[in-house]
Amino acid sequence: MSSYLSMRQLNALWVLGWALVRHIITYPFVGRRVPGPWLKRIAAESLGAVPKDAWGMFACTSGCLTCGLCDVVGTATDRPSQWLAGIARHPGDSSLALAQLQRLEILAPEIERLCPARLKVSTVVALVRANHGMLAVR
Amino acid sequence: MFDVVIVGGGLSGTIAALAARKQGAKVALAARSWGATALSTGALDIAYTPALSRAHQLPRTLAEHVLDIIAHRRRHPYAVLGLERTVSGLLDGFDLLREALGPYDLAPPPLNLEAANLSLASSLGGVLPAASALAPHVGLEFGVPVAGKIGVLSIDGLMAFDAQRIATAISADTKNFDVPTPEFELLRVALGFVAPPLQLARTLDDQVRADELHAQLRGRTQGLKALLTPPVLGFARAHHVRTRLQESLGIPVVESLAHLPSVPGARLQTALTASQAQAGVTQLGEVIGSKASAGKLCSLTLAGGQEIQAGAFVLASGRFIAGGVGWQAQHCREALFDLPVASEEGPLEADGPDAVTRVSPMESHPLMTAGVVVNPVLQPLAEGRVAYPNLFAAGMVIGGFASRYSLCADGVALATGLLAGRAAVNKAGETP
Repeated sequence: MSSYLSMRQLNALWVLGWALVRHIITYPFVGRRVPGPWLKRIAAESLGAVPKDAWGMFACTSGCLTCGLCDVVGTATDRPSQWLAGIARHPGDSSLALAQLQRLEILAPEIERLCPARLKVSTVVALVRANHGMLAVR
Repeated sequence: MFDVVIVGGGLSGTIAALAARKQGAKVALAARSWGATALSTGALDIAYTPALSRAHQLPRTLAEHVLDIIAHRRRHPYAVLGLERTVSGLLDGFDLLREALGPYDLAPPPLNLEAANLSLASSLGGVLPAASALAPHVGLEFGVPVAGKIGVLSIDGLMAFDAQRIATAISADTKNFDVPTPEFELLRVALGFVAPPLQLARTLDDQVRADELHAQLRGRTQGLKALLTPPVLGFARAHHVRTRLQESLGIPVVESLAHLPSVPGARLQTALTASQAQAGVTQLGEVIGSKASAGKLCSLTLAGGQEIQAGAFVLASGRFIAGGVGWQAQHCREALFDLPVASEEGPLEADGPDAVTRVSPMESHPLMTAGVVVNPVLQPLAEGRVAYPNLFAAGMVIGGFASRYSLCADGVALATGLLAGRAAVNKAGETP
């Protein structure tokens, strides 16, 4: 068994070594090889580059623990925890929460009073509103 | 000018405030936001230490578990307080909690330290040991033989509670207790909407919605001994919803313990906040600073700039969730007074990752036990000396223990909250 494993290891070393030699010889002529067609195929699905200004918003919104305790504010039909989790987890989908921003703004002081993560909901609302166009662009 | 000001409005802060009020003190309580109390499962943990004991026989009663902690965890608040003060603090603190929660129909049954931990159903599946629990979660004990079939309520659209999985997991757990496996029957209802737990609980506060639930269960519970439900039966009118269901079905209705988002935790925190106001405690906002003079703490500064003076203070600000302990300039410190913190192993002086990392994920992590060091009268220490003679600590802000290793968070909050509240009143009385 041990000699069998040794042969397998030798074979692996040979394959890797030969690949390294080929890479060193061909690199000056062909450059770095990447799966171009595959990257092109998924380009439409990939997220756009995050605008520099948006990082401030991520820092502000990413504090949500999704503990769900903000569901005790407002009326029983409000869904603040889901709106906030949506904004915090994926700001690109903020359009989903945009319709609720006005309601969230009204509830903001009450949510801020009890949020264990101390999320500044009024700031989140302002940022989402101001950056919605930028975030929606891919 | 107050006699006592408490920082923190969770379980320990509330008990400290109520204990101080009981002694006739003028009390204010400053709280910034909800903390770990609002994330409670509904269980009340005093002590559970099967992993600690080196004795031939594992501890059985709560008193034995407390003794085991004192014997094996020298930095644990129970060990710092000593057996006598711990036990009197636990019993008196528990009574005070029952009194506070009574008007909100959440009061747990009386504490019996000679009894064993209960084995209560959890909505994560299986059973959890707990010394006691809030009223809606008491009544179905799986550590003893259960005669008769138990219904498990499954509400369509409530993904946080998988009735089938819970029944299976309880059956599996009861094998460890050497008791017959209970029989379960799933009762599925559809309320026509999907909502997170707190939303559902608030929706069921509405009489019409609660009646829909009753109507769907009527006639289906014959032959059942009890009904186990998700912890969502009402929020503000929880007692009314559950009592009506019990009367309508003619069997006990017991809610399982919760996981996050926790309806029982939000109910508990809401009731504690209301009990503070009911007891005549002045409620204040966030504290952002303090002033000391001649080695004594004089006042606290609120976020609005207002200065609050008092004869003595109780720090009940929790740990990381509530913000009582945090990282400041690469060091883990107590957040308000910049007190040093220690873990179960000793002072936590983390200059690098070595102090807070572990080779094995199974090893206890020092940050799990990080909090201020106190003396036997609960005064926080800084460099081995009392930080301020008129400052006392209560609850999770005290370090040296992790509730997850010995299931004792509520016991520590009750005992230290009560003793710190009383000590603060005595200290305030000494102030000229």
